[in-house]
Amino acid sequence: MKKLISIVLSAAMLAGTLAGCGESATNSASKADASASSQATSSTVSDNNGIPTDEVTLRVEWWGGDDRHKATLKAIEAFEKKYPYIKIKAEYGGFDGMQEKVNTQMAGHTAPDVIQVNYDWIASLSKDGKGFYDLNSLKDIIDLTNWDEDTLKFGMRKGILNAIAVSTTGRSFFYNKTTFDQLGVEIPKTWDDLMAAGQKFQAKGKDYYPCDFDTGSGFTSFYMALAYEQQKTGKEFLSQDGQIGFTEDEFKDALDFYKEMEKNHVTRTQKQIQNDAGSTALYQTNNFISGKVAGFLEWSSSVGKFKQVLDSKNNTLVLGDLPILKDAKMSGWFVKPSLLFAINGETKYPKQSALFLNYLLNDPEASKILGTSRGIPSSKAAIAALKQSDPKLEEDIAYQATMQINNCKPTLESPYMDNSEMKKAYVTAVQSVSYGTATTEQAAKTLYQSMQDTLTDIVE
Amino acid sequence: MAARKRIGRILLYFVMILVSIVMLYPMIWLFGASFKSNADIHSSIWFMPSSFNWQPYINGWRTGSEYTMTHYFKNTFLMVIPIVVFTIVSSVLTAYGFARFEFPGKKLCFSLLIATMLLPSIVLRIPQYVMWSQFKVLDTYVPLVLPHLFASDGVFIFLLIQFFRNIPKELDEAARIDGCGRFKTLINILVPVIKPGVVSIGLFSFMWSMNDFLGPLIYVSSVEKYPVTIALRMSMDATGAGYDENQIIAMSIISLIPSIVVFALGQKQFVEGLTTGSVKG
Amino acid sequence: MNDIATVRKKHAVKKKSNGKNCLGENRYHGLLYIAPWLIGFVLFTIYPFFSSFYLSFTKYDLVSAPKWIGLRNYERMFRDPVFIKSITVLMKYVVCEVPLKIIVSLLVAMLLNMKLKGINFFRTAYYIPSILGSNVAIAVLWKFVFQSDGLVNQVIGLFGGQPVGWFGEEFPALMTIVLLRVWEFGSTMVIFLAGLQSIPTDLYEAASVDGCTKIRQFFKITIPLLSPTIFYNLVMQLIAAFQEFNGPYLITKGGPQNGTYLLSMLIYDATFKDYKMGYAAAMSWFLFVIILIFTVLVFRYSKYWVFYSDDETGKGDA
Repeated sequence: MKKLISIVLSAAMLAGTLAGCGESATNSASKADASASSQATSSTVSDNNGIPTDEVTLRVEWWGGDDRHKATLKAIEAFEKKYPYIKIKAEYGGFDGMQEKVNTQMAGHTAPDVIQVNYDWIASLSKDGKGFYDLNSLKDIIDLTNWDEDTLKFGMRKGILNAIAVSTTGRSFFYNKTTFDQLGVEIPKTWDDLMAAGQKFQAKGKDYYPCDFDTGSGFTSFYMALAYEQQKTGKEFLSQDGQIGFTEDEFKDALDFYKEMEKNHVTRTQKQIQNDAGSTALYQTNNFISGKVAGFLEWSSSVGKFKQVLDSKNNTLVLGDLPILKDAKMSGWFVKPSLLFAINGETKYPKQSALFLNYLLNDPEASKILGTSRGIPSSKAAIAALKQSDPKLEEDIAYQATMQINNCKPTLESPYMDNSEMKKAYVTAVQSVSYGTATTEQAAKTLYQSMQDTLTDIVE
Repeated sequence: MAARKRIGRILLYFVMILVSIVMLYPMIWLFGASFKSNADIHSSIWFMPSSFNWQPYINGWRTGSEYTMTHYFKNTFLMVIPIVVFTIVSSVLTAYGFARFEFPGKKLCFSLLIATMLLPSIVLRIPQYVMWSQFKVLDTYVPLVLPHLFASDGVFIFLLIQFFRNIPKELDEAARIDGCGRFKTLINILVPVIKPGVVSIGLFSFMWSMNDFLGPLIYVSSVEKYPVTIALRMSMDATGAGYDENQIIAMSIISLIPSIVVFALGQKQFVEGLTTGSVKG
Repeated sequence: MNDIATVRKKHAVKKKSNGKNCLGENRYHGLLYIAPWLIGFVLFTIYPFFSSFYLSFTKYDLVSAPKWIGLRNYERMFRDPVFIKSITVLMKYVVCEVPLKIIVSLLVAMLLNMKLKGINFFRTAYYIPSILGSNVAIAVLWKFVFQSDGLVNQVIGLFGGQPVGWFGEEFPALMTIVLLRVWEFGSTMVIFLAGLQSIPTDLYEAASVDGCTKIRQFFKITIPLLSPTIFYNLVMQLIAAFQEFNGPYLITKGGPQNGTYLLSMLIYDATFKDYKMGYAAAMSWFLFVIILIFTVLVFRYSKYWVFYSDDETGKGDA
């Protein structure tokens, strides 16, 4: 009898979809389905997407701060209302320890169904491309047309779509306008401006610096030098499949450029940075809070914490132009996903997981709830909905920075670029040059060698 | 003579109070920092906030999750109290076995006990995780609590062995003459003597398991079951747009209170020992 | 060391014979008491241990099946400059930290063993840093104390000294971690305190009667009678120092120029960040052997200076 009811209902639902009012029909029908299936659990009925309507529970894992937690929980609530036969068990926490947790779960085959991942994790957790569920096979459920080709590439691994980018980010220059105004220095627009600003700052006071490239938080100095060298040579420093594009000489040139920055008082030396506040993040150091260090190169997705600090000191933070050489062969700046979602390759419920992901990433209702809690969404549907609900979005500095990168024809970051061992190699190179324990030539040689070693080890 | 003694006393107190300030300052600073903005937290070592606003405590207690801190504290105690009880019971028994009995394979067992402490625990995490997942007890406190029932704390066993060995065996023999069995001797005669040692391991196991982060992080995946250590870090997103640090500091102060109280109560046990100390007289 | 023997003889009832024989009980009786540990060892310890040992001979990236590569991980270690540097830094750390911490904790424990008004307050106050453990406050405060214009450099300046670049240079950076660990002397101190409690007061009284000065009492009574506790703390501090992780993780992140990149951090990164579980296991077992050598040496030589009341000849360690 119950089976009969559900069959009738799903037929009605199908008719409803055909008549073009699928949304509400799905809603009421699936509710009925859920009550039916909760009593007759062996029901094999599916909804209009071919998704089984047996009651299931999906485990969904993410990291973030309070805003993201609250927004996501709210979106989950809305999702459960819409699809009452899918329950979501939210497993969330801070970023501390999340990689450890995900790795352990992957190793133990106990990972959740839907997992938020970092860009560099994918290359390691899915070496052969089979570590996560092939999202292309679920494209009937996840509307992949909402992402452009390049953004989808980030989740590709050996030709298989392993994950999907929620938002993208790149590093831009940000300046403390209050300090620049005080010292009467223009906000730099080009590399030359930046070099000149260093000199001008030095003239005003030797503790004042127009910018800061620290290595602690993640190879900012090297990143800057890479962008410069890519502009100069038109070569990609590291290809998508892990081939080094630069020669040793070009690495030397990049390191020379960084050293030049130090000499021109654009940035403190690595030793000064360490001595001033150890490994503390820039936005938590006195030199930054007091406005003495008046610029930095940072991901658009993380600029918020810098802004928060300067706001509380009534200083103004502005987005600077991306410095690009006059005869640049490419823009040289990078873009990468700030975070991605993947579906566990061993999940029992791929379709339901896909339905949830599609809701989270594309649904207008969810987009409004989630806002920019995971950065500026890459999904066209999501950003459209967001612009509608948040007219002030375009004033947001993080939004502007994201767009600046998106519009500069950026280089897609290689999946190996953020690899932790690669980062160690960059940091070693920059530190040895800065400390003077190696010439730029020696440092470039060591760097090339250790990058090569790491890559042969991790690229398969 | 008496005057010299008095001056000595005053000097002693002066030094001890000075050191206390060095030791206590972090707590004082933490308390002040819980009322500061992010920028102020990182710009001065001086503890005084510009104003007192209890909002961080209120928001922190509410958390950004589905549960309040009350819930996470309950979880922590649900986990920590059995750990402490199990640790004390199993460590005392095992240490007694090692310290007061001769049996075949004792040397080997003791060597293994010490050896298990020498391997960095990080490298055991993943094999242990795989093992507990085979036992089908993930997302429970079992992997965190059960090993303590089986004297998994070599550190504590070794400590108690040292304490037992410092008691002359004549005490056992005297008890035996009085008709005490081995177990009764342990409970009635020996445990009271090594009470400072037992109290120490109780204190340590309480404070260490209160502070454990990586263990629960890996084994507990339901937010509903998170202990305080994990709940505390739940709003910290180093990769994101920033968070109110005062809120985390406020909650971390609260999470330290149980340890401080337990320590303050526990350390009193150390005064009631047999001695008046080497300084007396 | 004869003094302690004579003092003890005055107060100890003469031993008749060895405990186990006189009781005449089943020789397996002791196994009953260590049963909890033994069962736990078999159930929960053996598998992860062997598993990690096996993994040290494999290439294992956590997701694909481990691949046997023989001794390659071990060979690689000695060609890895980061590993070699880490070992040398670790040795420096252990040599600085262990003695310093033991001496400081012992002195503080003696101080806190006095019967003073408000002693309970002092004990708790002195333990607070250890309760803080790896609280967020530590990293922030350490920054304030050791940064270029921080508290320590200001004090140095007061005495006309040159400011030290604490975080920018390798050895000073390592010292900031040593100082953190020494400042967190609480646990070691508590164990000493507990140990001091078990020294019978009448020993001191007898010594006073014999005309011993207090300094003599310290070396002739306190140290020998506390020797099992000192021995314990020495062994445990050695193990803990060799495995030190939280200090550099909190304060220096291993920098500058890997000057504080202690081995446990390296192992941690290899496991969870570099996906090199096999290599991490090999490094761990290497560290295991180093600690084992030191521990065995300490145990071996303990018979010359550690005295147990249950064993008048002081011979043998369990």
